[in-house]
Amino acid sequence: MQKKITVIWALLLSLFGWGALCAQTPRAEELLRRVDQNEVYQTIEYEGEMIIEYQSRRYVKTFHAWVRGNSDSFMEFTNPEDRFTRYLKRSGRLFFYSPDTEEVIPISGHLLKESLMGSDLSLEDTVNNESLESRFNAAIAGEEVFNGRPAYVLDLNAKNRGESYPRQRLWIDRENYDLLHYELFALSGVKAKEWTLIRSEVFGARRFPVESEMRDLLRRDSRTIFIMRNVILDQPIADSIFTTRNLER
Amino acid sequence: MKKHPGIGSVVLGLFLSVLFPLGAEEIGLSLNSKTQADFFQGTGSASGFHYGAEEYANLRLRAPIRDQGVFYGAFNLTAAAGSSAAALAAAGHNAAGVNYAWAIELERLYLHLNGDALVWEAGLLRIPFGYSPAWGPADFLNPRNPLQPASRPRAALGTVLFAYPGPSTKLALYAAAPKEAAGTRGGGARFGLSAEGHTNWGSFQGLYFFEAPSSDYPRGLHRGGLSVKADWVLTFFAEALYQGNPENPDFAKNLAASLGADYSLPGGSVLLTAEYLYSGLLSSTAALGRGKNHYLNFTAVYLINDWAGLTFSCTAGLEDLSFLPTLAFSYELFQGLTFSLSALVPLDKKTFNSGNSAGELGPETLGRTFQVTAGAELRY
Repeated sequence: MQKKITVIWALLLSLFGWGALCAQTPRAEELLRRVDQNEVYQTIEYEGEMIIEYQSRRYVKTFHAWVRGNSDSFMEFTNPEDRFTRYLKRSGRLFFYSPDTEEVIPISGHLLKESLMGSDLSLEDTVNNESLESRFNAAIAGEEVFNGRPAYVLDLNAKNRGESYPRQRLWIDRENYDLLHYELFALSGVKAKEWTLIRSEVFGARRFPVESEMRDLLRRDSRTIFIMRNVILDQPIADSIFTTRNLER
Repeated sequence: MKKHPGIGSVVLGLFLSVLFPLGAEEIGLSLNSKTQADFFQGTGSASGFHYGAEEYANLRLRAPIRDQGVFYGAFNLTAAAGSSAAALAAAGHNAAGVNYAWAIELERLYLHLNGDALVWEAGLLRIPFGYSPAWGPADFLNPRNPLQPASRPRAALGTVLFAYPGPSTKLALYAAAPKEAAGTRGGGARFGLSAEGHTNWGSFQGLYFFEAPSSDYPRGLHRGGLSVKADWVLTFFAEALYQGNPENPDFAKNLAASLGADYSLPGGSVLLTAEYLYSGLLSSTAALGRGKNHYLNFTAVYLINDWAGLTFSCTAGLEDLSFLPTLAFSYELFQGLTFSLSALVPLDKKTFNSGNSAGELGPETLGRTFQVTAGAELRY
């Protein structure tokens, strides 16, 4: 009889504990929505800097970028070695303007996933702005402390085929919902890239990452610090920015 | 060699003095310089060891005119010795210093004006056509030299009016001076139009040009071209330029066409490109060869890491089985400075059997059995 009472108490306690945990932990979808609210924008304009550190070498690339939604982006490099080199992504097509050849070259689709100007980011990484909630199913994998911040850990699995990284793991700040860190896994299951937040800034009601580190794990001893300055979020950008005419100006 | 001390400098000085008052703080100046030495083993009467040395700078100036336009200028500055000096002399640059030949060449000089609906460009400018990476049969106004793929495309004196009916479409009207620059009657002047569009599956461009009657073509010359680049696993490109030539209407002789594809292996460290060329004997690419029709260009780029790469390219004459394989290694010492080392070994059937005739791309025709080139390139 004593044993039976103990089992009942244990069951009640575990149910109570589970209920309490459920009351504190948001649902995975809610966490994703919070991240999307912070990071997904209608438009963004900024001055960017990529500090590429690769096997004891250091390269600095600066550029001006405009992005609209998830389909349109325009980048113009401003560092002396690449000055006036321009990229346009419009409706899934990528175009490149070289001041050397003075012509617009449509870039082959298979090159979208390749390194952008020798960095750990692909062009796809820099312009990917579709909400995570629409692309992934999420499940809470636990809680951890990441870089001194208590964080929820989320596992994401792609809803559709065609995602460059069909599995992702996210660390989300428990207090302010900053995306602190994520890991991207290739179709083979190999961890391909790691991203870590360095600094975010508050823009109105959102917190937006303005300094981060990306590591392409397929490149040995490499990382790229990505810095955004003079960020302008969700202000209208003229359609003329995202045109091949603008590449040739 | 005859000396022309200072003529180029005066031109450059005048150019700079005109530009800088526009607002020196606005002027953009960029530099691409090369220090290069090559060594080769000559053939025939020029057999034996030869060398060439060259210091080259491409100096580019860009002066914005408020938000309404940009004025561009670019110069090539060259100092050379050995075979490089001989090449300068052969091109008509015959100024000489103590132990070197030198040249200042005007490379670009044009105005780009932005209107709300139209863009206008005029001057010495590049007028590109087509998407072909190696042969460029439609790129007839500024023809490329596939044997020197790294060289910057040349310019033509002309004017272009662009209209952009959509964000990914472009219409253009062209006029370009005749090839005979000093001719005053306008015979050989070229007038044309083109349309270009980009869709989800790829890009296309069509063009038409009329060349005014001249002594070469008393009834004028019509040119029509089409270039397509399409993405489907691989990226395919096809391009053709046909010239309606009343003096010699043979279709095959007036057609230049290329077909090719490129592909990057997963990981992006290897990029492969192959392109075939049919070159009609009177066509836009006829100057490349000596009476042959079929060519192939293959290029493989292997990026060893971010600062070192190997490029193998081979241009082949398919009819006489002559080949021009080149292997190049490049190494970026620091951001903006790249060292390169390349080796070129022309081959033909005569290389392996002296009883065979010399090939178009073989050692006898090119005047060398091998060539090694070392250089350093600075961009700033």
